[in-house]
Amino acid sequence: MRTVAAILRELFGLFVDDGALAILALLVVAIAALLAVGLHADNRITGAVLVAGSVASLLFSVFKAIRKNGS
Amino acid sequence: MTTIWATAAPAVSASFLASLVEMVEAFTIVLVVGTVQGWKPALSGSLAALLLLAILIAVLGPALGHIPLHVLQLVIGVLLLLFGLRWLRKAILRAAGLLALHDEASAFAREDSRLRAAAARDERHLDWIAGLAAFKAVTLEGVEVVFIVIAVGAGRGLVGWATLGAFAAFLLVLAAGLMVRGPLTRVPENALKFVVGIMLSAFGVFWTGEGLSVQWPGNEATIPFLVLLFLVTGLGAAGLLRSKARSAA
Repeated sequence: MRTVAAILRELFGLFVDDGALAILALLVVAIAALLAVGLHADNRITGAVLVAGSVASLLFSVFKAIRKNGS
Repeated sequence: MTTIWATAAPAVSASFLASLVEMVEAFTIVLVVGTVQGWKPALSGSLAALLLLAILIAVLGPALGHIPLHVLQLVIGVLLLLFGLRWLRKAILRAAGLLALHDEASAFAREDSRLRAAAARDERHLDWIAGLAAFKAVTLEGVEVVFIVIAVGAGRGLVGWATLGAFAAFLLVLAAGLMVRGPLTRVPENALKFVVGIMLSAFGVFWTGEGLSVQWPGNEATIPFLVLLFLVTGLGAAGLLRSKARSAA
């Protein structure tokens, strides 16, 4: 049972380590989906939001870790 | 042939490098079990895990064929993005010295003392405990390999190519392990994780966009551009953090 729990924990941990990074990345995807499906925006805008949003999420998470570290 | 290789190369290389990292980690634990308790529990635990993974692939593989392509691309893209950004973040923080580097020698020592402590507590079940440790390690790392192979391959029918990359990694780790007969400490794991994080993040953005019907300029030709973007971002962030840490010291 403990092995199954460890496998499930590991599976979740595959995708989520820093919760804020996961939430931000999902938010970026949600905005892109809203643009593409809800607002029928030009798909170049959707692509740009995905690319810029993913890079921004990563940078935010990295610099948040530094602030937390106090350096 | 050139066209096929140009399409398949990113999937093969991403799958090869990511699988290499996971297999080195699994190998360390199997090696501990083998040296502490003998190769019978190590191999039986590993084989049981491989059987479980084969069942997982046999069940998941055909099921994927029934999912509409756009949905598959979107789901896989989002999972790859989360997976890739997580690896890249960790690799940046490790490169900047803010997180400890993963060390196979210390992982080996940790598992070794855990098994020896278990042996001291209860000698009757030691084969079972050792086999379970090998089973757990191969299952956990193997699930990651299965996910990576499916994720980098399924979007464009390249699962076979991605499997080839993972199998090449398996053979390489096995050959290196047989030669070294110890934990593979000289594998530059953080550099590999950095590269894999970059590739998986790039694939993640690309497949998510495909799932949302984004027409990427030049289709797959966008992937190298995305790789370059994440590479510059990752190197830039790691360099900035290192210089900040140096000036703070």
